[in-house]
Parts: sequence; structure tokens; C-alpha cells
Amino acid sequence: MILRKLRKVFTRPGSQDSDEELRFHLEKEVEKNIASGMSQAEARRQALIAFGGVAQTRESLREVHRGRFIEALVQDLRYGWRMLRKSPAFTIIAVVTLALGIGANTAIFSLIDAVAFRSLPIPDPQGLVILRWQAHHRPETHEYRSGGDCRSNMDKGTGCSLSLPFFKDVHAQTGAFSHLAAFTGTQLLDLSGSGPARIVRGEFVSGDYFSTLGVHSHVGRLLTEADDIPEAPAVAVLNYEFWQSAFGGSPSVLGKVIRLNGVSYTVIGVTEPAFDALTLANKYDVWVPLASRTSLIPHWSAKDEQMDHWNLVIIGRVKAGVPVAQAQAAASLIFHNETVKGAKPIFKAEHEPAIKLASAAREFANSQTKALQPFYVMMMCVGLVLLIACANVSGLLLARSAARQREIAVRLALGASRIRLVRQLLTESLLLSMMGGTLGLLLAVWGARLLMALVTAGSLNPPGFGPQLDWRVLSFTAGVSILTGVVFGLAPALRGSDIGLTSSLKSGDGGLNGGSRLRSRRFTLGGALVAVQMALAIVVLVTAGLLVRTLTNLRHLNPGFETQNVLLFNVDPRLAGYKGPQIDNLYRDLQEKFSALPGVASATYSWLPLLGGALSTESFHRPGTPPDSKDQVDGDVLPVGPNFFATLRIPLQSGHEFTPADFAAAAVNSGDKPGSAPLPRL
Amino acid sequence: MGNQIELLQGTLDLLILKTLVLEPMHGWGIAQRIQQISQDVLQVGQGSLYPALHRLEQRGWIGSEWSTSDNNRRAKFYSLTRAGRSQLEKELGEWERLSAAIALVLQQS
Repeated sequence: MILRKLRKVFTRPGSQDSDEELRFHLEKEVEKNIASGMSQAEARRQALIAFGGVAQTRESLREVHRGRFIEALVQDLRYGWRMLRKSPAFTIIAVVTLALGIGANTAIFSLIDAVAFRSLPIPDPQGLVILRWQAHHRPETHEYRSGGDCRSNMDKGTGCSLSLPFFKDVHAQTGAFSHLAAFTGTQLLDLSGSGPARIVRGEFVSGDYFSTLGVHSHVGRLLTEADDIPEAPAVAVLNYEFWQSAFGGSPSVLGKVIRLNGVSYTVIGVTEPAFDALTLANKYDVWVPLASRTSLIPHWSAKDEQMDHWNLVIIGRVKAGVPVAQAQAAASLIFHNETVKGAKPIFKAEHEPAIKLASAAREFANSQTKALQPFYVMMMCVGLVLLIACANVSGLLLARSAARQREIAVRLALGASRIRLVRQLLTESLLLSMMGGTLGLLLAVWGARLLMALVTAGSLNPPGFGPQLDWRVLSFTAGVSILTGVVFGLAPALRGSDIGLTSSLKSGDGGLNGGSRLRSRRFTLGGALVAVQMALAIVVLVTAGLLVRTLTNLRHLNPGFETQNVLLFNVDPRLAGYKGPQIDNLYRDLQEKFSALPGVASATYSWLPLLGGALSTESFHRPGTPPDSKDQVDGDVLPVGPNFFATLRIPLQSGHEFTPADFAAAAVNSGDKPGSAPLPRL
Repeated sequence: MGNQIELLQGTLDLLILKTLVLEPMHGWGIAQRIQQISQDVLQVGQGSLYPALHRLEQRGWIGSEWSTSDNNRRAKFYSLTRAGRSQLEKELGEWERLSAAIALVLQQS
């Protein structure tokens, strides 16, 4: 009974050994008191009084152990540093090897970090929500366009693109949002009116886009709702970076008229420098009001802004005090009514269309995962490189520990425990890896910049991010360094401290003849290391070989046309206001003028470039049969100009090349049906 | 209890080492032995005893072992190591020189 109570006093987390020792002491004290004639309760009371504070004792015991640990650590570090300085060649080789391995890993990680953990450059990014639709069916929309800022999966019934009428209704009818804004994806615009014409990336945004994000102007003012009505004068806001590069950062740009696709816009302001873009994939040079879409985009008509044209991303902030679920329900109600009961139903009621409010920051980050894939591959490669570096340094350490056997034997003989020696050797390898990590960090900063410079050289569309050193990168490097130190240090440390005392001490030559047991075991570990090293090296070699092979295959691949000495460029005359036959005439005119240039063998034009990654598909049916009949076939179509086949040196199976005269003839791609004769009939 | 004396810094280590010369003992036994032999003048509380024991153990002067004491209870027994024995001799010598020196100074005045 007493014992149980006593136990209670001591049962607290801590060193159990010490607790049991103290408990025993107290029990003996109680016994002594009982023996001298006290009652049990009194004996216990007196014992506790004599005993004093248990907690303090426990703490000072802990202090004894902790002090010992730190003392040993400092000792080990000092000793390790001395040993490393004694063999500078070994130290330099090991540190440089590790620095290369750790540096490569840090470099790639800093790039992944820059993309994956990028925070939105706006105040309170967590409060920004995005409206996602979801349903049990794909929507029967006439148009569905996503700008790439947020992922849609039509077949799984979820996405971020919504219609303009829906945006306007949510904006007008729900009071749950303090801010609500819409924007639509990438639009290449022709900018003229300030120096030579150029292509810029523009984004259509609703009037409250900037106020929703919380972005301020650097100079001038940003768009307001009053700018986003069809009757308002056309105004544009410039990105700070674009303002710097195109207008030299001059404030005189305010009030200046620029022409976008031939339409005049007045520049009213520049965004603050901190705001570059919502997602790294889509950086915009200029923002214009959503209402000016109709006048700015060729062939854009009012019907493109109807209920079944989903091309807007809607973001917002929920009013303070309003539960997210309530805002979600309000938006869902409107969405359900419009998509199910509208003039052109997009969903059926059983598809349960609804709106979910998601974190915009997370959705934007998710849309960037594709950009990360090449980095993950690189991460694996540099991971292998680091493993090889570990194996190398491990081998070096092993050779060194063989040479240090005598020293270790002496320390063992003087009473050092094996654990203490392993700790000493591990401290040394951690010291090495930390030095390697520090040097690696420098290499990484430099290497990542070089990498980005290589990747983005000559790119029209730079990814807009660079390596950055933040706490994530630093802790990654620290973690990798520690792990590396343990990985390459543990085996040699265990091996090095396990030696036959007598034989090591007796042998005069530093312990290399340290007994047959020793010798055979050392070579086993050394052999295993060599095997691991070889295996890793072969993996890297094969990977590199495959990569080179793929590249040479790509170079020698015969795409069916001659790729040598072909120059390519793009021109979209619609952006400059050309229409109908004017466009055909322009192309024909350009072709004639280019063909006449000295040094040009021939020139042609086509709707899309070959191997450009895009293609257009049309359905064909026999004359006389109705469309949608069974013998209708789909074919990839490429509208081309005269001399197309001659210019790209594509041999024709039969028939002849388009001449300016027979633009009514069609050439059938013989790749689909070998042997069949072309049918120049329309 | 009025005639107890605070131990000088460092003297507890010496007393513990000296007590362990004869036989391995557990902590309580050491405290009792010191108290008995000093005729209750020196009382060692657990608050200073156990930290001192652990410190001495870490320096390698005493070793420890769990074994059964009376009534089949487990107790941690401390014993003097060889390093501890030579340390004891060293400290005894130092103590004798110190106390002799103090005695000389005190007699002088």
C-alpha cells in the first residue's frame, strides 16, 4: 500500500533507472523510521521530509547526463577537426565530393521549391477562394476554355471555367462575398503605338480584379468596376516588369494611348512591383477590362459571352463573419438554376451541379505540377549522384579508419567505450558533411542560376522564376547533409571501432596486419562499398546513355520532310484588323516577296507549323451522303499555301503540288491509306 | 540535528570513494555509512548524493550494477573501479595536504 503510493510519487516520465534508484532510497528510509518505532504513516511522512525535493534531484541528475553529452560533443568536434586538419588532402577531396553531391541536390530542390511552394504575391493569399464547378456529368457547353491557371477535368465533372452570365449573377445576387472577380486566360495581343509593333500577353479581367487580389498601383490607378462596362473608355493597366522593359519605367506612360489589335487603349496605371503573376505559367504584360473583349478579339461576338460558353475563372473573398458553406450554397443555388433550368440546359438535375469554394492558392499551385515533372526526374538523377558521392567518401573513410586502427586501439585500451568511439567517428563524418553542405550551398546558388540561364536561353516565354534560398531550401540542405554524414559515416565508424585490441596494439605498422578476422571483415565491407558504387555508377551511366541516344534519335528521326535550313515565323494579320480576302492576299503577297529574296530557295505558308504540337481535325463524308452518316471519317487537316510540299521537300506519291492556280484541289495524305490514289474532287 | 555540517565542495566525492573501498554499496547504504561513521555530523541528502554518484560513474571512477538487496528488492550497487582507486589515493593525498595547510594557518593566528 505504501509502496504503491510511493511509486506514484516517482512515476513520471524521465529516466526510469534513476527513478527506481531514488524510490529504493525512500523505501529504505521508511523502513529505518519504522524500525526506530514510528507508525507507518509517520515513518513515511518523516522519510519524505528528510528526502527533500524529488523533482529537483531528478532535474540535477538529468543535468549531469546532459552536461556530459555536450562536453563529449565539444570534445569530439575539437578532436575531429584536429584529425581532419592533419590530413588536408583527404579532407579536401571528401568535402569537395560531398559539396558537389549536396550542391546538385540543393540546386534542383531550390527550383522545385520556387515552383511548388510559391506563395501568391498578394496580401492574405489564404483568404482568396476560387469557384470550382462540380457535377456527375461533363457539361454540355458550347465552348469550354481554361487558361491553364486552374485544372479542369471535364470527364470527372470538375473544373474552374465558368460563364460570364453566371459571374454577373453571383456578383449581383449574393451578398456572401466581399469581393468577386473574374479573368480569362492567355491572349496574345498585337501592341503598336509605342515604337515597333510587338506581341504582348494580355489578360481580360473584371473591374474588381485588382481590389479582390488586394494589389495596389505603383503609378496611376488600377481598373475599377466603372471601367468594366461596354460604354466606358478603353483603358489598360501595365505589369511593372513590362513597364520597365517596354517603357523604361517612365511615369509619362500614364495617359498614353497604345493600340492593342488596332484598338486604342489609354494606359491608366502600373501594378506594384511585388505583384508579377498569379501563376508562373501565365505572366501578363497588360490587363484590360473584360467588357472590351468584344471589340478586342477578332471574331468575338456577343454569343461567346452566353451561358454555355465557359471561359472565365472566378475568384473572390468571402465576407468576414459569413461561413464559407453559406457562400458556397448561395453560389451553388444560382449555378444549379442556370445550368439545369436555363434556356439551354447544361446539366440535368440528377447530375447535381454545384459550386465548391477552394483555396485559390492551392488550386493555382496544383495547376503548376506539370512544370515540376522535369525537376523530379532531375532530382532523382542528382540523388543518385549524391549516393555515389557517399559511397566514395565512405570508401575513403574506411581506408582511413584502417590506418587509424592503432589510434583507436589505444583509446579502447584507455577505457573508451565502443559507443563513445562510434560517436567520435560519426562526429567526424558529420563535420565533413556539414562542411560539404556549406560549400554545396554556394555551388547550388551558382548552379541553379546557370541551369535556369541554360534552360531559358532564347526562350520567348521565360518561366518567370529563379532559385531562391528560403528556410525550406536551407533546412533541406541541412537535412541532406546530416543524412549524408550518417549514411557514409556509419559503416566505417562501426567497422573502425570493432578491432581486436591485442593484435592491433602489437602490430607496429598502424594496424594493417590486425589479425585475420579483421582483415577478412574489412575487405567484405570494402567490397560491398565498391559493389554499391559500381551499381550506382552503372545506373547513372545507362540513364545518361539512354538520354543521349534519345537525343540523337530525335536528331536523326525522319519526320517526312526536310528540317535542314528551314526558317519559320508566325504572323496573325487578324490582330492588325485584316479580314476575309485581305488575309489571303497578304499571305500570297508575303510569299511572293520572300521567294524573290536572294538566298531564299522557296517560301510557303500553312495554317499550323508541322510538328508544332497542334492539329485540327475535320469530318469528311462522301458527296451525296448526309453528314453524320456511318461512312463519315475524321481526318487531320492542314490548310497550306502554294509550293508547300516543294519547300519542305515532301515527296508526293502521285499527282502534283498545289500551284497558285489550283487552290480548289485537295491533296489526300497518303500516310493514312497507302496505295490509294488521291481524289482531287470537291 | 543542530550539529550537522555542510559538506565542502568536492569533499562528498572523496567520502563516497572512501566509503566504497571496502565493498560495493547502494546509494542509501553509502549515505547511512557516512552518517554513522561521522557520528551523525555528516548527513548526505539524496539531492546531492545521486548527482555525485552519477558524475563519478561518468568519469569512470565508480561502476554500477543492478542486483538484489535484502528482501529481494532490486537496488543499484556502486563499486570502485581501478581508476577510482587511484583517484581516491590522489584525492586523499590532496586532502591531507590541504587540511594540514589549513591547520598550520589556523594555529599561526
